[in-house]
Amino acid sequence: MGKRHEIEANGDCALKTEAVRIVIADDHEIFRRGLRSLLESHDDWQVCGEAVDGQEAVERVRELKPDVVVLDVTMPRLNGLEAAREIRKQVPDSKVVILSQHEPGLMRQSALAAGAGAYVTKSEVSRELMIAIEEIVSSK
Amino acid sequence: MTTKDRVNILMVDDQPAKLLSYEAILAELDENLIKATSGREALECLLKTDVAVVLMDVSMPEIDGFELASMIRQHPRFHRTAIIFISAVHLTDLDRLKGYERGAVDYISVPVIPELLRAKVTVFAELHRKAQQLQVLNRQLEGRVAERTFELEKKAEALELLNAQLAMKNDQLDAILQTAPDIIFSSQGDGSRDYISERFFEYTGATSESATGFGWLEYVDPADEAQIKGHWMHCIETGTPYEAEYRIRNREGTYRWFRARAIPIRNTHGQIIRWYGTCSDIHDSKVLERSIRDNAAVLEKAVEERTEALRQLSTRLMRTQDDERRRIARELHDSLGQELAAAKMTVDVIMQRSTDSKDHSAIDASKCIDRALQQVRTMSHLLHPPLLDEVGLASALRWYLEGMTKRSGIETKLEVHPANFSRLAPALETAIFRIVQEALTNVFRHSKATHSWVTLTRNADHVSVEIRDNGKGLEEKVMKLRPGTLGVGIGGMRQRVEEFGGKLRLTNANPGAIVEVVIPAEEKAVERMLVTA
Repeated sequence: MGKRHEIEANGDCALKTEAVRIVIADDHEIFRRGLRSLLESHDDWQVCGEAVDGQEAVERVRELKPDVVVLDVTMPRLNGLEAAREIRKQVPDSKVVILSQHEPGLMRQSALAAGAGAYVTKSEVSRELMIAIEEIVSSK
Repeated sequence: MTTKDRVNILMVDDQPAKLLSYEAILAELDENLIKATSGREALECLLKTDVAVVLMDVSMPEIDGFELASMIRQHPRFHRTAIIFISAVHLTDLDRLKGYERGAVDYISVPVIPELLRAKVTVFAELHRKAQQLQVLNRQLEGRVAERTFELEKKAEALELLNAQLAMKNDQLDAILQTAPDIIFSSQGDGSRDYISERFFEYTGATSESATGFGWLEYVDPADEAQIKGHWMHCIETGTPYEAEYRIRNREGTYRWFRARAIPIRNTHGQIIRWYGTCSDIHDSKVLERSIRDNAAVLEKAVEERTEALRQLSTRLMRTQDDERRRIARELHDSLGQELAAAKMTVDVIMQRSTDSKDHSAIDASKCIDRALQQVRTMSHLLHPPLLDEVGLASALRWYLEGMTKRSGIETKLEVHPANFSRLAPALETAIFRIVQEALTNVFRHSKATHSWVTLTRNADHVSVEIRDNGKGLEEKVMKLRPGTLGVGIGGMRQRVEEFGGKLRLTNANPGAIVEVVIPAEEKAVERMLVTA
C-alpha cells in the first residue's frame, strides 16, 4: 500500500493517511473523468490533481508531489514523454505511468527511456492501469 | 666449192670442134657450160635460161656474131649480159669498135690462149654472180622494207585510233570540268594554283588570270582568309591532305560556305609534284545544320527548364503529400483515437459498476471500440511514420525495422551514431524515414537477402544513412541511376535526397547492395540546447 511522506497544506485533495495520491494528465476531459472514476474505485487511491497538458502536469506534480502521476503522451505544449523527463528530474519520488494510443512495441521503449515506471496502452487502461500502479506503489 | 652458185656460160660456134675445145678450156671453172651451134639455138637458150657470159664466134652462117649480139642487146633482160667475141679474122680496130658498138665487152683472138679465156670468163662469171647476189639481197631488203613499212603503217593506224580516243576522253573530261557543280582545281608543288575550273569564274565573276597562283584568296571571306591560307601552306609543307571550310564571295558580293579538299600527287621519288582538289558549295546544308543545332539547343534548354520546373513541382507535391498525410494521421490518431479511448474508458467504468453479468451490451460496445481503435492506429501508421514527431527518427526506425523483420523474415539491425541522436527538422526526418522504408521495401522485393543493416550517422554538417543487404546486388543500369531504368522506389528516393541537396549512391558489395545517402544538415543551436538542457 502507498505511504504518505508529506502533508500538503494547500492541496486540492483532503488529507487521508495511507492513501495513494495520484495526479492525472490528459487533454481529453471525458477521458480524465473516466480515469478519475476508475482510479477512485480503489479504496485507498485518491486523484489529487488533474492537468490538461504536459506543462501543467509538471507544475501540478512539483506542487503536489503525488505518489504517482499518469501522463498521456499526446498532449499540447509539452508532450507526455518530455513531461516525464522533467518530473523525474525535478520530483524523483513521484512515479510516472505513461499512457498512449500507440501499441507497446512502439512506445514502451521510449516511455521507459523517459523515466516512466510503466507503460499502458489506452485501450487497455481499464484492465492494466490498476495492476501497473499497484506494482509501482508496492515496489516503492 | 659447194657454196658457189654456178652460173651459165653459153658458147656459140657453128663448128662443134671449137665448142669442144672451149669446153675443155673452161671445164675447170666448174660452171654450167651450154653449147649452141647457131645464132637461133643461142637465142632459144638465152630466152630459157639466165646466162652470165656469152662466148660467141663472130663469123657464123645465118646470123653472124654481130647480128646476134645486137639482137641480144635489144632485149632489156640482156642489157648487162657479158658478150665475148672470138674471132680469127676481122681483127682490125674498126672490127673491134663495131663489136663494142654491138654490145661486146671483150674480144679474144685466135689462137685462143686458154689462161686468158679462163681469166676473162671468170671475171664476167663472178661479176654476174655478184650481180645475182646483189639482186637477191636487194629483193630481201625490199621485202624487209615492205614488212617494216607495213608494221609502221599499222602502228600509225593504232596511234591515230588512240589519239582519237584520247581526244574524246579529253573532250569528256573537259565537259565534266566545265559542267561539274563543284569547283575543281590543281596546284603546283609550291601550292600556287595553275588550274581552276569554269565554275569558279561563273560563281565569282573573276577572270582566269586574277584567280590563279594565290589570287583566288581575294574571293575568300576576310574572316576566313588568314586561317585557311595558313592551313593550306601547312598542308603543302607537310604533305597532309587538305580539308577546309570557308566562305567565298559570289559575283553579287554575298558569301556562301564551301568545303575544299585536296590531295597531293607524288613522283617516284616521293616528292609532291601537284595537288588536285575540289571545292563544293555546302552553304545550304551548313545553314540548315546550324539552324538545327540552334533549335536543338533552344529545345534542350526548354526541356531542361521544364524538367527543373517538373522536379520542383514534384518535390512540392511530395512535400504537400507528406504534410497532408501527417495531418490526417495526427487527426485520426489524436482526435478520433482520443475520443474512442475516452469512450472505451467510460464504457469500461460502466461495465465495472454493472451488477448484471448477463448484460453483454457494454462488453460488445467495448469490443467495438477496441476494433475501431486498432483500425485508427493502423490507418494512421500507414499514412505517416508513427511517433516520428514524438520519439524522433531513431526510435521510429527501430520500430519500423522490428515490424519489417516480423513481416518479411529478413533479419535487420539498426546502428545509430551517436547513441543520443539529436532531432532533425521534421521534413528531413520524414524524408530519411521514407528513404529507409523505400530501400528496405526494395531489399524485400528484389534482393532475396536474408540480412539487412541500417546505419544512421549524425556528423557536424551532414547526416548519412547506409542501407546494406546480403542479396543478389543491383543491375548495372540501376546502379548508374540511368533515367528510365529507375523504378518508382529509387526515383522517389533520389528525389527526396535531391530535395535536401544531398547525394544518393548505389553500389554493389558482393554480395549484396549498398544504398548510401548523405544529406547536408547543420547541427542547429536549438538541437544542442535541447540536448544539454
